[in-house]
Amino acid sequence: MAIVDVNQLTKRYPAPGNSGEILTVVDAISFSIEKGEIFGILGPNGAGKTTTLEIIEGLTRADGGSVHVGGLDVANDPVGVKQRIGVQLQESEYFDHLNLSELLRLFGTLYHRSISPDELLKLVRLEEKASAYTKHLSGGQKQRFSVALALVNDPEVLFLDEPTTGLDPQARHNLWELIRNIHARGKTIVLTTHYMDEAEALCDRIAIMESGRIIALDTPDALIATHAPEPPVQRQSGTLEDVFLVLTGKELRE
Amino acid sequence: MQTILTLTLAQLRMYTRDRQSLFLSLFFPLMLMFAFGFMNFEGDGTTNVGVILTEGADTTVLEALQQDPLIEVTTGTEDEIHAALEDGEVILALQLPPEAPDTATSQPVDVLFNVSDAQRAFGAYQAMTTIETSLTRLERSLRGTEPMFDMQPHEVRGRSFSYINFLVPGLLAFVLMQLAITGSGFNIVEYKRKGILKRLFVTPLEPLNFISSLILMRLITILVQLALLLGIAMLFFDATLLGNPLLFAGFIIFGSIMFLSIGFALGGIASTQNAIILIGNLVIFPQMFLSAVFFPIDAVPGWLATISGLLPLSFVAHALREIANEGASLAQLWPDVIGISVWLAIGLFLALRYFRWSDAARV
Repeated sequence: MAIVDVNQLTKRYPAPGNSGEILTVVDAISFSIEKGEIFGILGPNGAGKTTTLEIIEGLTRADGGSVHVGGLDVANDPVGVKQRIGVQLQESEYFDHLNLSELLRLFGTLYHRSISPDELLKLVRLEEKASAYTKHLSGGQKQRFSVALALVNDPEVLFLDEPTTGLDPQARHNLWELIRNIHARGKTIVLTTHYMDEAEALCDRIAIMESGRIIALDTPDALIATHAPEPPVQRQSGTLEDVFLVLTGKELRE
Repeated sequence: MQTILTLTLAQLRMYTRDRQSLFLSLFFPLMLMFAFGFMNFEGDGTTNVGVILTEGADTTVLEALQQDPLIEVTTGTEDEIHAALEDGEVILALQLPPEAPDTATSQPVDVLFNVSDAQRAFGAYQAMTTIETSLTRLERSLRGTEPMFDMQPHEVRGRSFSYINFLVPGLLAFVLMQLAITGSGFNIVEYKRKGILKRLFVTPLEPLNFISSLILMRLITILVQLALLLGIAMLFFDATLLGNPLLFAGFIIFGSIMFLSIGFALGGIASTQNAIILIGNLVIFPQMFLSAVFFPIDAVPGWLATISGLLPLSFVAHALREIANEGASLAQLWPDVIGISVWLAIGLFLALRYFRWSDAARV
C-alpha cells in the first residue's frame, strides 16, 4: 500500500537574475512510496530533490500534479499531512536559549501532544544532553537531535534531507544505526543523500533524479544489474556510485 | 490559544535567558536617563560677576549687586578678576566708579568681558541685562522715584516642570520603538536565516499563531521594561505620571503594535542580518533626532518641524508626554491616535506585501 503517492508533480521557479526565464525544477514526476520502506532520492545538486520533498511536506505549493500522504491531498489539507509526517531539514538550527528537553516539549505542543523528552532523547542516545543548548552539540549529536525532534508527533512517514552530510564516518554509521532502529519500529522513511554507500546500505528502493525528472527507480541491486558498466572481461560488477555517475554524468555541479 | 500561550512562554524564557541582550536593553536607556537627568540645563539661575576692587573706589554699586539674589559677586584685584574672567569663573567683570553716586550726573561703569567664544559673549550680554536691572533698582532708590511699571509675577503652572519631565516620556517612546523594531524585524530575519521558521512550518503551526505569540511576548517585555524605567525615573528624578496610567499603558501597547508591524515590514524587505541592521538604523536614527525624544526641537526650520511631527515616534512620544505631564485624556489625543493608526496601516500593508516565511525560492 502506497503511503506517499506523487502524481505528475511539477514546480517552476523564475531563473536567478532578471532574465525572465522560467526553470522547471520538478518536471511532471510520478512515484509511490510503500508503507514501511526506506526510500532514497538521489541526484546531483539542483536535480530537484529538496523541492520535491518540500512540496510533499507542505512547505511549497506545486504548480501542477498532486501529492497524497496517507490518502490526504497535500494541497487541500496541508495541516492534516503535517500531523502525520516528521521532517528533518537540511542544516536547520534551533532557538538559542532553549535546551533539548524544552525544544522537544515545545515542538510537541505544536502537534498538541504532551511528550516525554527523555524517551526520545534516549532513542537518539542524547539523554545526558537533556539540559544542553543545541549550540553545544557536535555535528553528529545535532543531527541525532534533529531526528528526535522529527519524531515528536510519532509520525507515519519520516523525511530526512541529507542527514549525514558533513558527519565523520563514525557519526554516519551511528546515524545509520538510528535510522534502521526507527525503521524497525514500523516507520516509513524517505531520505535524500549524496553518499551512494549510504543509499546502498539503507534504502529498499531508490529514485535517481536529474534535471527535475526521475531517470531511474528501483532496488539498489536491480539498479546495479541494469545500469552498472560492463567490466571488460568478467561478469558485471560495480557499485551504486558507478550507476549514479553513468546515469547523471561526471560533470561537476553546484 | 494553547499553542500561542506555550510559544509566548517559550519565547519569554529565551528572552530572559539572553542575559547580555537583556542587560543592554535596560542599561542603555538607564544610562541616558542618568546622564541627562543629572545634567543641569537651567543652572541655578545666578549670574557670576567679578568686581575689581581698587583703592578708594565707591562701594555703593558693589553693595547693591551683592544684595541681588540673582547675582553672585566675586571680588578681587584687577589681576585676579582678569584670571577669573579668562577661566570662565565669572561671565563679566565690573570696574567700580571712583566716586559715590550722584543723582545729578551719569557715571561710567566699565564692563569687561571675554568674547573668546560666541556662547560666552552671549552669556555676558545676558548678564549685563541682569546687572542693569539691579542698577536701575539702585538708581530708583537713590532718586526716590517709583517704577512706572511694576511687574507682578503669578505662577501659572502648579508644579515644577523640569527637563526630566520632558525626557522620560520621550525616552520611554524611544525604548519602545527600539525594542519593537529589533524584536520583530531583527528576530524574524535571524529565524529565517537559521532555518527556524522553515522548521516551525513543517509542523501544523499556523503562521498567525506564531505571529500572535511573537507580538504577545514583545508586548509583555516592553510593558515590563518601560514600567521598570518609569519606576526608576519616578524614584530618582521625581518624574511624574499625572494622567491615567491605563491610558498611558494603552498608548504604549498601541505604539508597540505599530512599531512591531513596521519591524515585520523591514524584516520582509531585508534578506540578511546586515541588511536589517542597516535598514533598521535608517528608520531608528532620524526619528531619534527629529522626533523630539531627548530634546525639544525648536531650532529646526518650519518645514522640517512639520515632517518631524509626522514621524511615527513623534506621535507616540507626544501622546506619552501629554498624558504624563498634562494629564491629557484620550479625547485630547485624537491626532496621535490617527497618526499611529495610519503608520500601523502602512506597516501592516508593507509587512503583508513583502513578508516571506523563507529565503528566496531555492532550486
